[in-house]
This record gives sequence, structure tokens and C-alpha cells, in this order.
Amino acid sequence: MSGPSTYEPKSGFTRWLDARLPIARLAYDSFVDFPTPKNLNYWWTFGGILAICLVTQILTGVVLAMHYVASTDQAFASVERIMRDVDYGWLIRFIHANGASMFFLAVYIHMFRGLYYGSYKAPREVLWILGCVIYLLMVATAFMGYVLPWGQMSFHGSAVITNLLGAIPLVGETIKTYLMGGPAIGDPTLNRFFSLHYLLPFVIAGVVVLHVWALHVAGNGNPTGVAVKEVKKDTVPFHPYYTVKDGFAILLFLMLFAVFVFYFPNILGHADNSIEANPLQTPAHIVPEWYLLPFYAILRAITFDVGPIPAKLLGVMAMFGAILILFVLPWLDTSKVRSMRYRPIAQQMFVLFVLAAVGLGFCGANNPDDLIFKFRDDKLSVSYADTNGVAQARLFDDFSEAKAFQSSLPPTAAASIEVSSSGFKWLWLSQALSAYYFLYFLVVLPVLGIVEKPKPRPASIADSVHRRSKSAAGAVPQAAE
Amino acid sequence: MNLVGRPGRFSSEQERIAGLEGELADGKRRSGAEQDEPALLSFGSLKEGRPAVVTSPAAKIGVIHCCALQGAIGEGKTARFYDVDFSPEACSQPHGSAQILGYVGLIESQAHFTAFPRVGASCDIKPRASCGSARYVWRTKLRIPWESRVAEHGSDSQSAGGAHAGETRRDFIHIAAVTVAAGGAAALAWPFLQQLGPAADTRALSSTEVDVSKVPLGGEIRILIGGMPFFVRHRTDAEIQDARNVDISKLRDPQTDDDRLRPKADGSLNPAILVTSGSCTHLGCVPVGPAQGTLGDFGGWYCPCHGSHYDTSGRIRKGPAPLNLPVPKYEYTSDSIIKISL
Repeated sequence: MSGPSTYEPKSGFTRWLDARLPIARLAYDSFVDFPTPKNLNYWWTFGGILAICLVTQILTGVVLAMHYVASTDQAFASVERIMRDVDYGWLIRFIHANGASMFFLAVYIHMFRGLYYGSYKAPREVLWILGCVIYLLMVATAFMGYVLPWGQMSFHGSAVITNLLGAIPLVGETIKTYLMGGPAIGDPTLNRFFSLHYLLPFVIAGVVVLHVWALHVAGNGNPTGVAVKEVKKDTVPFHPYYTVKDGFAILLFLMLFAVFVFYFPNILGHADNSIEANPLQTPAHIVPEWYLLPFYAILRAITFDVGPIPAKLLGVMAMFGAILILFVLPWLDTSKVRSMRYRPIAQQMFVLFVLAAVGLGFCGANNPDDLIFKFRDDKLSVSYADTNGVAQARLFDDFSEAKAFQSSLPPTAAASIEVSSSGFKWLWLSQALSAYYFLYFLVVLPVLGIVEKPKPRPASIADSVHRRSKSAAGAVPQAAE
Repeated sequence: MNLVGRPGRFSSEQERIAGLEGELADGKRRSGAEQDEPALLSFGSLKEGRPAVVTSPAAKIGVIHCCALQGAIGEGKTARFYDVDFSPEACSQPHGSAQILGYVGLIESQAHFTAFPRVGASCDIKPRASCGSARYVWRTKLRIPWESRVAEHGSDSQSAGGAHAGETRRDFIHIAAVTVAAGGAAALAWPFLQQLGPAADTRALSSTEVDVSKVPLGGEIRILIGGMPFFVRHRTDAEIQDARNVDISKLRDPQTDDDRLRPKADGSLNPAILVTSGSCTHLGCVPVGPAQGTLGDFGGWYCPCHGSHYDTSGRIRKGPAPLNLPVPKYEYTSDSIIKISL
């Protein structure tokens, strides 16, 4: 796509360097003169935003590692020291902690963008898969990073996740032991998590290089999904057109970032993590960070065994499957049309998918057995054993009636009174949304590609821009005055 | 126009424009827009924007009719050429003959910017909607004067304020953006630099109190404050006399013994107690002293690293060290308690 390089070294030094290490030429061809479709919208700015996020996390992370102590005795105190004693430590830590959330916010928008505009389709399958690898690495990095402050949620959250791996048949226990380095989460775990948490961002940076490389082979997609036909007509150089557009989007994003860092630095965290880890006391309600809640909801949605597979293992499979299924998406979507702009049914299915994904996040944040809404008012239930020893229950509205009924029963009935609620459980919602999550990939996209009749697409990018500007000019000529 | 970043080359649009020399006709004109329009153009006040009017040998020959320009150049390239997609100006005069006010040229590497040929005060740019349909033919001639750039830039003192507005606006935006970015970068760099310094808890540990009455006569104690070694020595009378009987004019770093003591609360000196830094002023080794059994040639301290000898006042007497052992900041908080600070 790049075509022949247009870089012309200006000075003697750049000519000298260019003949030996054409790094300036590479940068120029990749980020200055790179031909970019002229019709990219703001959803396309999140690539640049994510690059900023990665750099932010690495910079702040390197600084935090200068002050952090990876030891179960000192980790929590060292984080508090960063917050109180290290000059601007509070700022750098808040940037790092909220930066993780911002990173995931941006990556989810970036992924939804790819899903909607068919960015995973040929010839960009490898580009997409590299993106999935980056996402997987991000999840691993974020998970291990959350353990480091050694708060209550750090400790027990990591205990839950590592125990999940124990559910894998045959090798699960071994993996779990090697991950923890002992019988439970402790000093060895903390030290290897710290080491890997420092390492993985640089692995991510490496895969990002591959991601950008793959991007520059196929070139950017675009909202129409129509491939670039004529570079001169369909594209503009990356600089200044998209450096400025991305720069503007980055500024807006950083403003949102700053709002969190300076005004709500703890709103995305959990209060329990301000308590030092205590292995003998588990918090009442263990939840991961918000960006992992949908997968946590999928994990907990599986409460039933399927054949020989126990519910616990099935939940783990579903949770990892929800991410891994993205890797094969290019071959699940059978449609020849890239952009859902021209796929009316897929468009609606996509909106439902986004709603399902966000809904799963809410499901993950709530206790599965809590009720979203009630079918009826709460009643009192008297449960007892009848003369044959079979468990029975009767509902009452009034406590005195229930009490009278309970007293009328013989002591052998062992009657007890409890509140009986009936309503729609979060569990059921997460089961329905999880089902749609997988149906979307396994049924909707494969089938729709065959049965759906797409709308006509523009002949070229230039053509789509031309028609849009013409219709805009025709529609509001007077408004300009 | 895609000229930015590719100076010195024709972009595809320019090539297309370059080929567009000749008459441009627009046969339509909507009536009604003529009432408020200024009358005749004053050719002398013709000003250039970008694309700019270039100095033409033939003066007063044409009006740049923007409808025509748009129609002709915009063909097939509307989206990219919005830059030059002139709105019609009100300078269309109610007469039926064609006129050419000047040559239109595109200035290399500038044409990306939205620019209008401004025709002085007598010609204002109106939005596209006021574009009349001309009953008459406007002529314009397009040339690409690549050599004329220098002549075009900023040298025209007669230009009205708006003539070079595009250029100054662009400069302003560039400078403003770079300034804001530099300010942001500096503001960001400051916390990242400052965190490298000693933290508040480290700073809080930068002083300590010592009970000098516990130091045995003729001996010393060594203390660490924030990792820095300090000596507190209880000198004998002989050592004090040695320190005082030195001709300081022969010293490498002249200081009297009294200069190296700090007064008590009542203002008197306590020559028995000498407090010095424990780092040799040569390369920072810790000299050996009474506790190690070596006092050096002058009865004070001896640095084993490179052989510096200090006397009983901690002054350098022999060896490579350039300065006396520094006396730290300390004060007597009572008769026998001193507080040493970094």
C-alpha cells in the first residue's frame, strides 16, 4: 500500500544515515507520507489513543517500580509511601491506576470499531489476530498489576482467578502451583507477578509494532469497507491530516483521563483494596476491575453441568472462550461486505451485541442471586416436613398467621419461617446475555453472511466522499448564509 | 491540496490544475443577489490569498470568478479541492461582459489552506449559496508560478490585513500549538523528575540527636544519618593542643580549630567534642580513626583508600584529599545533646 518511498533526506547527516539505517525513512513512510483513506471517522482515532495509553502506562509504571517493594510484608506499605511521601507519587500512581481503565476503555471502543466495520476481514486477519494477542496480554498484565498493591481485593481476587485454573482437567493443579509458586498466594506469587507485570508491557509494545506493521501492509480500513482503488484519489497523507485529527481526539481523551485522575481517582477502584491483604478474611463481595466484569459474568453464568463437564470447568472454558473466539472471528463471519453500514440486519445484531457486552458488565458487578426486579411482594414462607418427612412450604402474607401455622405443626415437622422473594435474578440475565454473546459469533455472523442482502456500496472511497459532500451541499445551502 | 509535506512536487491536483488553462464558463446566474453588491471593482486593490493573484504583466484583466473556479477545478476532485472551492464573491458586476482581473496562481506548499482571493474592500466573500448564475462568461487563467513564491510572501506592504491572513493564522496556530505542547511537556516532566528526589519520609530522617557525654575520652562514635557517616570525637587535652598549635597558613584548607566547632546555647565552645563528616573529601571513603587503631601521621584520621592524613581537628594535612573533613550542621540542644542535620 505504501508504494515507493517518497522520503528525501535533506541534510548531509540524514543522507549518511539513510544509507546505513533508513530509520528516518521508515518513520516518514509510516507516519508522514503514509496514504490513509480520506474518509476515516473519529472511531479510527483510538489506535493513536491506545499508543498514548501504552506509553503512559510504561512511563508511570517504570517510575512506580522505583518505589514499590514486591514483598508481602512491605508491598502495601510501599504503595502507601508512594501515595504520601514520594514527591508526586500520588499523581503518578493515580495516572497508572486510572490509566489501566482508560486503556481498556479505549481498547474496547477500538475493538467494537473493528467488529462494526469488519476490520478483521481479509486481508487484515493477521492484523486482527495480533490485536487479540495484545488484548490478551493486556488482560494478563492488568490482572497481575492489580495484585501488586496487596490489598484485600488484590489478594482474594488473585486467589479466585488462580483457583479457576485448577479446574482445568489433568494439568490444572500443576499450572496453579507453578503460577503461585507455593500452596497459596504469597511472596513467590507476588514477586513473579511483579516481574511479569513489568515484562509484559514491553511484550505488548513488541506486538504493537507487529500490529502496526500488519496495518501498513494492508493499509487502513475505512467506514465504507471499500478498498482503496486509486491512492491519489482515495487517500490523503497521514501527516498532517490524521496526525492533527488523532491529536485532537487524543486531547479530548486526555481531558477525560484528567477528570478521573484529578476528580475521581478512586471511583473505578474498590474500597476493599485500601485494606491490607488478610488471607484469613475474605471480603464479602469479590469482583474484578470493571473491564473484566463481562468475562466474570460469563464465568458465573455457568451454573450447570453439561454431560461429563462440571459447571466450574465449563465456566472457565466459557470465560476464556469468550476471548479466544475473537481469534477465529475472521473465519466465522461469512459476509463478503466489510462494513455493517451496508448490512442492515447485521447492524441491528451488532447493537444488540454491544448492549449484551455492556449488560454482562453490570451482571458481573452484581451478585448473581440478587434480584433485578421482583415478580411479587415478599412473602413469609413456612417450610416444614410433613408426616411422611417430605419437605413442604406454605406462603403467608401475615406474620401472625405464619406463626400460628408454625405452632400448629408438631415439633417433628421442624418448621421454620423465612422471607420468600421471587424475582428476576442477575444470574438469569447473565445467562441470557452470555448465550447471545456466543450466538452472535457462532450463529448470527456465519448465517447472516449468507442470507442477508446488503445495501449497495459506493464504487470507491472518493465516490462516497464526493456523494456525501454533494448531498450535504444540496441539503443545507441556505444554512450557510 | 496535499502540498504540505511534499514541497517541490506537483500533487495530482496541481497537475490537473496546471492543465486547466483557458476559459471557464458558467452559464447560470440567479438574479437578486446584485443589489447589495459593490459596484465596480477597483483593480488596484486586488489582493491575493492562496491561490493568489500573481504579479501579472498584463494588469486589470480579469476577475476571479469563484463559481467558475469551483466548477472547473472541483470537477472530480471536490472533496480535496474544497480548499480552493471559492464561494462566489459579491463582486460580480451586473454587466454582461467577461473580465479578467488577474492571474490566479497556486503557491507551492501553501495551497492546502482555505484561501480566498480578496478583492480589497470592494469585494467580499459570500457563502456559496449566494452564488449567482451568470449570464455571462467569466474568464480566468490559471497558472502555477512556482518561482513566484518569494515574491508572494509577506513583502506586499500595501496588503490589507486580510491579505496574508492565511499565513499569519497558520504561523500563529503553529506557534501556539507548539508552545502549549511544550508547556504541557514541561508540566508533565516536572513530577516525573521530582519523584526521583528524596521522598518525604527520607527527608524526615535527615537529622539525629547524639548524647556526646557517652563518647569516651580519646575515642569517637560513628553515626549514620540517611546513610551518611559522621564522626563525633571526644578529644584529649593533648589532641586539642595539637589542633591549636598549627600554623594555619601552611594548611591546604586553612581553618582554625575554633572555626571547626559550634557554640553551645550559652555561646561558649566545647573543644573536647569535635563533630565532622565521615567521608574523605578525596573520593568518599570512610577514614579510620581511634577505634581502628590508626590515627595517621597527624593523630586524627587516616584514609586507607589513597592515604590522606587528617589531624586532630579533621583538617587535611597530607595526601590527595583537597579539603578538610566538613563540619556538618549541628547544634547543642542541651549541655550534652547535639542535633546533627544533613
